Amino acid sequence: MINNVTDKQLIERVKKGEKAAYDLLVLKYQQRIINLALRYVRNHSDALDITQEAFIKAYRALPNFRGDSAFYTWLYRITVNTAKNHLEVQSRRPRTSDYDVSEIEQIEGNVALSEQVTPENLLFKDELQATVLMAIDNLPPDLKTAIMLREVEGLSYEEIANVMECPIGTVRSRIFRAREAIDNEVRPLLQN
Amino acid sequence: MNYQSSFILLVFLFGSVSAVYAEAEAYPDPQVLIDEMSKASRDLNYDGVFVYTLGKQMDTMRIIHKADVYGSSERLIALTGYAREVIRDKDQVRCFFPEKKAVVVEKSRLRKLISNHLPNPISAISEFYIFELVGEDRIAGLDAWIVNIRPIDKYRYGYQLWIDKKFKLLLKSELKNQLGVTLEQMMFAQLNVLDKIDDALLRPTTASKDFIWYHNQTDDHFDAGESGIQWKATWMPAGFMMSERSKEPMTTSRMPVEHLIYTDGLAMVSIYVEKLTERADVFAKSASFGGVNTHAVYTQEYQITAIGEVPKATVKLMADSVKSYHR
Amino acid sequence: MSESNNKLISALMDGEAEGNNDKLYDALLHDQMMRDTWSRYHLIADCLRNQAPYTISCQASSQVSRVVMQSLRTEPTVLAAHKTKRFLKPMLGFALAASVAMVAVFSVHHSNKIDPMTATPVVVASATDNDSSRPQLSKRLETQVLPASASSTDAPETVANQRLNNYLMNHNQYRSNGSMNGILPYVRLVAIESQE
Repeated sequence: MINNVTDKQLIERVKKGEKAAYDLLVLKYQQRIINLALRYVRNHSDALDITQEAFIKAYRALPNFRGDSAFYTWLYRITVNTAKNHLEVQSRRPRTSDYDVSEIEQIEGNVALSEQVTPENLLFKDELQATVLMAIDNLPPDLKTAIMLREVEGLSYEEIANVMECPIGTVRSRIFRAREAIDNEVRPLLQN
Repeated sequence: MNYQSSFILLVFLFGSVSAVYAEAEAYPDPQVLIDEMSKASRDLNYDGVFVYTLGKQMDTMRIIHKADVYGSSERLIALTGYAREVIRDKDQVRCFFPEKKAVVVEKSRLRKLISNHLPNPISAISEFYIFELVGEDRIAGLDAWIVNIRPIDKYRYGYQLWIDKKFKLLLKSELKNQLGVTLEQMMFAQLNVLDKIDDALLRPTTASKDFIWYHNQTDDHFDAGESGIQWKATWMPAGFMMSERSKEPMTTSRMPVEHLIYTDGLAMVSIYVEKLTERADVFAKSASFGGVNTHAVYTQEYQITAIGEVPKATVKLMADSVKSYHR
Repeated sequence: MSESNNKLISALMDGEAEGNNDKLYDALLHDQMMRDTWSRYHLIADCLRNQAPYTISCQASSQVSRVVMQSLRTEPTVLAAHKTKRFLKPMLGFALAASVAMVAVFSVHHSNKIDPMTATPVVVASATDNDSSRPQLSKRLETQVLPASASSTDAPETVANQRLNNYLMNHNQYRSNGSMNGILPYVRLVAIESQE
């Protein structure tokens, strides 16, 4: 499930100075990290702050990432520490003072950490998950089995090919076709 | 596969994944920890008492650190020996010497460095030092992680750091030689992290009206290399490079002394080149001061001295390698 | 933007893309549509594994991504620095370790007890602390660059000691300055003072 090959290739690119490659890692892991941050804080905006800070910290510390653990494990650890610090700071400092704001600005330069997230921009997970599960249910059995073995059981294409007794190329296209079918349902939801 | 089975699978899988990560969460990455420590020591308000040990000598100091939107300020008070104090805020540094009834004031300043391009310091040093989380301990009543910083060769010293688990402040540090012998140690006996530091705590208590104030203006650096001769170390351990070059006015010297700074990002070696005005007083060539070693070599006209918290061999080899170049 | 591209993305995210993926990465990095697809495919995976947060931002190019990438724009490309020539600043971000450098100064100068076992020529203060002629201090601070202090009367080793002491204080001062916080640049003052 944790995909080392692609992460490794992306990290190599980042290390060569290609910052944009880091964006793909951010896009890949953002939901999981927000979800993790939400175990420590209740509101979505705090979770976003923690997520952003964790990604920035991870970028800065990336040269130390030796690749002996999965990138996600490492990012997970940074996020947990960031979230704990966040709670610590919250409990230490008087709320609603100018102090917090200017300090954050000092630390992060001109980037406003917590942009206003308006309710219309948000989609509830339940809705999305229902759509995804519905789409999966409507898939032909071959596609459904392939995507579940991949995403839920974390099997490699070769393993799936063994289970399903078909060539790897077939697995590759079944998984893609499944994703495309689900994506066709998900996309309009996100564009709303 | 239907909903039910996939759901059970999800639960099972998610449960096991959490268990794996819970373990990872328990042990912080030592380099991340050090990053957090730097940040904590700058951003938190604290008031503590620590003991500094050098050889057989022990001293106790109190440090009060205040962080606010105006920048940090700090007060250090010697609790043993003379009641000296140093107070630093964003504009100036004041040193109080009660035994001499003197206050010396200097501008707080950041030195210009050759380059503003500063790589992530931890990453820069991770090539030459190994960072390890080696255990847990309790210092000043606080739970701490112990981080070991081990050099990869015999030309540098290592450190052992005790970092507070909660606030990430440094609670204890030891400078160690290659054999693991501790050369210098700093350890907090008490440390309180506070919501707020009263400004009164940052005012001097030793000063009185009869103190004489001296404002030191020897701030500006002379242009390096104006004499037409440039000095350079031709040997240094892997990873060291020159970070700064300047001329320093010295009370013991007629002319400003040429100063070269070399660093691997953690250890720092200064090389001073001074033109001798009288017959060279060829005295101690090497000396040690806790973790700091010095080595001086003499040419006909110059004294070249290397100083740094590195082993004796390193300062000797570096001092010996210094050569002059005409520009 | 084609089906074949999306198929490649699908394989890539599973680490199952064949051959050299450089071109695909290049495309992904620069094509917003492809990045959106990458993002959504991962979102779908997160949903299947129940790892999506309670609420999800609808913009494919999320707020997190925007803020992080904007922030990285001002970051040095530290990661490439390994290969190129680096300039280092002594780090030891340990604010306190830097204080310790200065603490050493305190320790040396107030203590009149010298351990004869440790050859420390820097402890010149024992001789000088007793003599507190303040007018001279003032003069010295003003004149900035001074003749070797009392070289005609002092023993040569005293001068050498004082010189070394000055170097040491100066070194410590830089060490303090070197830390991230630019802290405690006053060590030298203590050193000058102790010359009296």
